[in-house]
This record gives sequence, C-alpha cells and structure tokens, in this order.
Amino acid sequence: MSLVLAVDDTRALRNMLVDCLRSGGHDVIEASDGVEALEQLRAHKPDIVITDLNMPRMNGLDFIEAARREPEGRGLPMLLLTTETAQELKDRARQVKATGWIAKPFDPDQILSLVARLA
Amino acid sequence: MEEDEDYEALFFAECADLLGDLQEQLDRIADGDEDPETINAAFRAVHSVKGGAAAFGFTDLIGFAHIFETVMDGIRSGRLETTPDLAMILVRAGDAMAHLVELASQGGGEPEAIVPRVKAELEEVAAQLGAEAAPKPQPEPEPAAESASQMGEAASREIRIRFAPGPDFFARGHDPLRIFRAARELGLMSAEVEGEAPPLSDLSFEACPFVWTLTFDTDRPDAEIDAFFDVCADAASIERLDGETPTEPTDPPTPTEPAARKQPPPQPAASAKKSGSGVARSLRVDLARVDKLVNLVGEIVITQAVLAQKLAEIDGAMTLEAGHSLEALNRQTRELQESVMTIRAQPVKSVFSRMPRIVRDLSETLGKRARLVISGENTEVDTTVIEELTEPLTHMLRNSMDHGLESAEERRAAGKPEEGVIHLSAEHRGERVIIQITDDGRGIDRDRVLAKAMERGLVGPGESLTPEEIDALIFHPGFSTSEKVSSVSGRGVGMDVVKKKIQSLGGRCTVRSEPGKGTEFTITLPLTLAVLDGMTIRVGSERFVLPLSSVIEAVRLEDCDVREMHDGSRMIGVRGAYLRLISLRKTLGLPPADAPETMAVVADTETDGHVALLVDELIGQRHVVLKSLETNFKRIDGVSGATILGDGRVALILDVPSLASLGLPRRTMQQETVH
Repeated sequence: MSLVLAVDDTRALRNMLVDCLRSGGHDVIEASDGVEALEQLRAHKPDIVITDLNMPRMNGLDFIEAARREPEGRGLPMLLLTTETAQELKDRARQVKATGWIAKPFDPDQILSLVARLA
Repeated sequence: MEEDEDYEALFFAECADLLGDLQEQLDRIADGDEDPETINAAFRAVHSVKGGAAAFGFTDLIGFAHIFETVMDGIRSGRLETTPDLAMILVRAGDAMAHLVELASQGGGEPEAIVPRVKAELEEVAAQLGAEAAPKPQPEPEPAAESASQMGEAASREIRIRFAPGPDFFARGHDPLRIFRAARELGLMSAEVEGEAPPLSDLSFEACPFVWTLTFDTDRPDAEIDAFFDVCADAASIERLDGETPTEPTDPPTPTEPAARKQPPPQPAASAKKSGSGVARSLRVDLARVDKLVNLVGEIVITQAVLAQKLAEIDGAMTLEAGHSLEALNRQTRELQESVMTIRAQPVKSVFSRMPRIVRDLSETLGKRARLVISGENTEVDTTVIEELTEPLTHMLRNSMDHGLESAEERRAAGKPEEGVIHLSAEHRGERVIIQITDDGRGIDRDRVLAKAMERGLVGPGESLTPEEIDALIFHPGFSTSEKVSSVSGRGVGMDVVKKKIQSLGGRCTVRSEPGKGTEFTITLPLTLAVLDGMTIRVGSERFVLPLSSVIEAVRLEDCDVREMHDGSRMIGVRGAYLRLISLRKTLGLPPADAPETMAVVADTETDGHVALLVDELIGQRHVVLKSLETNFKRIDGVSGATILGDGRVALILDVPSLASLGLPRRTMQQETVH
C-alpha cells in the first residue's frame, strides 16, 4: 500500500479524501495548502500526491511546479483535484508536469483505482 | 450513512467560518478595499463552499455558488470593475448564500425570494463576462469513473494496444511498471517491447524510450479498458491495434467553471494565516539550548549506526523484528533531526529586507540608478547562517553597484535602460540553499582583471587562463580592481573575504559573467550544518563519504569508454558525455593501489558539470553527522569535514566541487611537464 499526501484547504473535503484513501488501505499524510504540502513532501517522501487547486498561500499548480524541483518530487505521481476542467488549466497542468487531474466531486472508487495505477 | 453525516457536519462548521470571513471581506470590498488579497480570499471562500456543496449534492447551493464564483473570478482577474452597485450585489449574495447553507443544513426547503433575485442580479453581471460564464448544469460524476460492475461484461476477446510514452512520461510521475501491474486486473497477458531495447547507458530519467504492445485477454467492455488508460493518455500515445476505434484521450466531462485564468498572485504567508483559530503560538528559546539538542541528535545518529553495525556482526541477532525496529529507529531519528533543524530555520527575509536600503543609499553615493528585485525571501535557512549572511551579501551588492553596473551614460550608449537592475534571490535546491545576486551591468572586465593579477604576481607571465579562471581571480586574497580606492567597495575588503566567510559556513561562492550582459554571483549553502545523507565509498583501505546530494550515479569502468588524453588526464564516456575522471587516490595522496579501481561515481560539481571519481568499492548509503575539521585541525581542500562510521572508524567527508578543482591540473604545471 502507498503513502499518499492529501492536500486540501477545506477540512471536510480533505477528510473525505483521507477516509477514502484509508479505506483503500493506504497511509495518508495531510496538508492544508501548498506550503505545508512541500514541507510534508520533504519530510515524508510520499508515493503519490493528490492536491486541491484553489488554496491559500500556494495553490495546487504552484505546489506541483515547486515539488518537481525537489528531489522527492522527481518522477512522483501528482494529481490535481479540481472542479475546473478548462483547457487552459490542463495546459498549465501539463506545463508544471502534473501527472493528471481528477474532476471534483470525486468518486472514491476512481481515486482508489488511480492510486493503484500510479503509485 | 453515518460517516457522510460526519463530513456534512464538519462541512457546515467550516461553512460558518467561511461565511463569516466572506462577509467581512465583502464588507471591506463595499468600503472600497481593492486589495487583491481581500478579493482572493472572498473568491476562495465562495469556491470552498461550492466545492463542499458539490461533494454533498446540495443542488440549490451549487448553482448559486457557481454564479457567485464566476462573478468573483471576473473581479479578481480584473475583467469586472467593483462599482459600488456591484459591491452591494456581492454583499447581498453573501447573505443569500448563507441562507442557502442554512437551508441545506436543515435538510432542504424552499429558499426565500432574495435568492432568485440576487441570483438574477449575479447572472446579469456575469453576462458581461461573455457567454462562457453562463451557468451550466452541474455535471454528473465522471462516467469514466464508473466501476466495472456498473459497466457489465463483454465477450471474452483479445485486445492489443500500442503504448508509447511521451517525452515527459517519467518527469510527470508515470511509471509503466505500475500501470502494467494494475492492468493485470483487466486481463493484461503480456507487454512486449517494440524493437530492440536501447542500452542501459542511453536511458534517461525524464523520457521513456520504450514502446510496448500490450495484449489483453479480457471480458471487460472496451470503455473500461479505454478508461483505464485515461490516467496517462495525456503523457503517452495509446492506440488500439486490433481494429477497434483508437482511444482518444478522454477528458473529464463538460467544464462547469470559467477557465482558470490568470492565477492570483502568490499570497503573502502572513495575511493568509489570519483565518483559523487565531494567534500563532510561539516560544522563545535560547539558541544554545537548541544547539545542545542538535548535538545530541547528531550523537544519536552515530549511536544508531554503531548499533546497526554491532547487530549485523552478531550471528542471528539481526532477526526480522530487530531489523524492523532498527529501521523504525532510523526513520524516527531522521524525523527528529529534521524537526530540530526546522526549529533553527528562519526565512532569509530578515537579511534580504535590509538590502533595498543599501542599494538606495549606494545609488545616491555613486550617482547610478539601480533597482533591486528580491525573490524567494521566504526561503528558510539555518539561523547561524542568517546571522552571518548580512556582511557578505552587503559586500556583494556593493560590488555589483560599484563594479557591475555602468553609469547612466554608459548604459545609454550600450542601448540599455538607464536604470540598472540587480536581482537578489534565494531558493532551495535539494539539500542546499542557493542565493544569487545578478546584475545587468557590464560584466567582469577580464583584461583589467588579468592585468591586475599579473601586476600583483597572482598570474605568471605566459600563463593562459580560461575566461572562467580569470573571473575567479576576483576571489583571490588582496584583489581589488577599483582604479581608485572608492568609498564604496575599495576599502581593503575584497571578494576573498566574502568567499572565506561563505566557506566558513560550509558553503561556496562562484561567479559567472558575460561581457556587456552582466555578472551573476552564486552562493551555495548547506541546508543543515550538522547531518547529511552520504554514500560511503572505499578507496584503498580508507573509507570516505560523498554527500548523496552530489552523487548522480555509479558506473563500472569496464562498461564505459575510458580515454587517455595527451596531458595524462583521463576522460570517461557516460551516457554519451565525456567526463573528467578523477583519481581520488592521487588527489588525496593515498598510497598507490595493488589493483586498479573498477568503479567510478559520477558526481555533480554544481558549477562545472559532472565529474567521475574513481573508487574501489561502494559500501552503502547512510546518514552521517558532519564534524568540522577546522575546529580541531584545519581546513583541507576537497574535504568538508569528518564523521564517525558505524564501526567507529573516522571517515572524511568529501566535497565534490573543491575536489574537482583540486583534480584539475594547473595550466602552469601542464606547461612545465610539456617542456
């Protein structure tokens, strides 16, 4: 099973994600924004990251971009969880080398099967 | 669904906070506050409410929050002007949304008349943003995500898929092995590589050179197989080979949002922290106490290494359980160490914030117009380092202002804007902190530097130096090119003092310059001063430690092309590039070997590309405590310190960049040997 870093500033949504991941047998660490997520990434070297897009301090895209520059973030699967699916966002996601995106509201089975494929 | 109710309860609790904040921000906007952070915070609050509403399926709330969010987004991206009228609509929208949240928390009900009225007002405003912002119905959950059971079964058949990863496949975090493993559940029978596999030495860490043909024997419907590859459809080309329609990268369904336009500017950490339960709690601690803690952690790391070694030496002692416990101890020690180091970490802001003033004062004194651009001021560095940074940074800025930037006339003549720009930046790169000072001035005047160096006898007549070597001369003790001793930089303190200071902090300082374009000083500092990840190697009977952050890979010499150069130095071909091969034995003055080395470690010099270091054996990877040699002994080039290994031996920790420059035959010596 994998160590998943779940990043979301809304606690209720983060809890849902965390519980979904735990129910799939994964270990989960959490962060409430990109800055915290970077710290968690360095400290715990997760196997996969699932992050919200809109967050205070550092948003999901900026976080992924910064994380790719860290040794722990090289080649790491990092998924964006977002309600926005506009082309521009996808282009940005590609540019920062996000692994992919998941449309919100998410389906727990989909999350688990993605984690199984990627991590 | 009890659990769902828990989430809902939490969501409503959060909503209360969010709505409270929102009201506050909307009031401020109504009062004429145009601070982007206020608008951003309001946008995020609406967005968060919408996200939660979508997760729990509160339809009325979703629809309302969506149009509200669209308008807020129009404001934050500057496409809508916050007129007093609009501000009042926003305030009403805040109230309406609060009402909808309340209804949702009570399990539904007919919204009051204010809701449709305000919604219509918002829609009218949104209409100014163009058609794209018109509200659309919330999409059903992604069809691709439907589970297999819902999709039913199809006839058992063979499906073949060509799977060709794109150029940034690895870089974007994909791993074919994991995907294939997961695909076994769908009935993946084989994965065959097309053509010949390239030799190992041609593989890169970014791109995946293989193309596979995957064969499934499956009874799953096509849609499910297609959906499976959605996850990497964006980073790989996936093609059905068995005549069925090829899999187009299927995107998640209709966008419900306006495009994510310009991202809002990064928010300052301080102002974003204000939401939440209030006061940041902190504690002032005497630095000496923290230092004691750091030392103790260092000792624990050593003791743990000794323990591991002793256990390994005793037959049967290293049981599975003992191994696990040891592993846990290892992890905890590391965490302990990292936590302790974060106590000592401080943003460089405290130093950086003093610099604009220095530049301002200097531009007056020197009569040059200059602008200082600062970035990365939140990068954290060890406290000790921060305290010691002010002096070298000040000096380097002075240097850039005095020598780097030209006068306004000169700049005009060179076709540059009169105002010079100096960038001061800090960032983390791996286990290091990089601080750079870059100016867009005239660059180092190499002729003058060389002439001066010859005059001072630093360079002998007839020596030929590369431009980089000439640039590096400015760090030479007692070197100062200022024609007249100016009150700014020619006060006897040269760049050599800067370099010494940085070295005493365990860092290094380099310069890069381009004539007419500018000069860039780079300071590289270790993130932690006490503990590092190292690779233990053996050369002869000695053990050394290479910092893991400088190790790129290890290669066997017999697999590589080693060439002898005219001057006796050797080059090694690794992955298509020729690297300088450095004999650690020779460079460190060890006795000659009985047998030639068989391995080389490719290491990063940070400034000068990669070099290959000849070693006899790789022993392993470990966490080592760095003990300074300087306190008890003296500074040695090529060595950054010493450590105690698990077996109690002392090993020197090698410093790749200075080692690489040691291994470089001096040009003068070369000439002597040739003659």
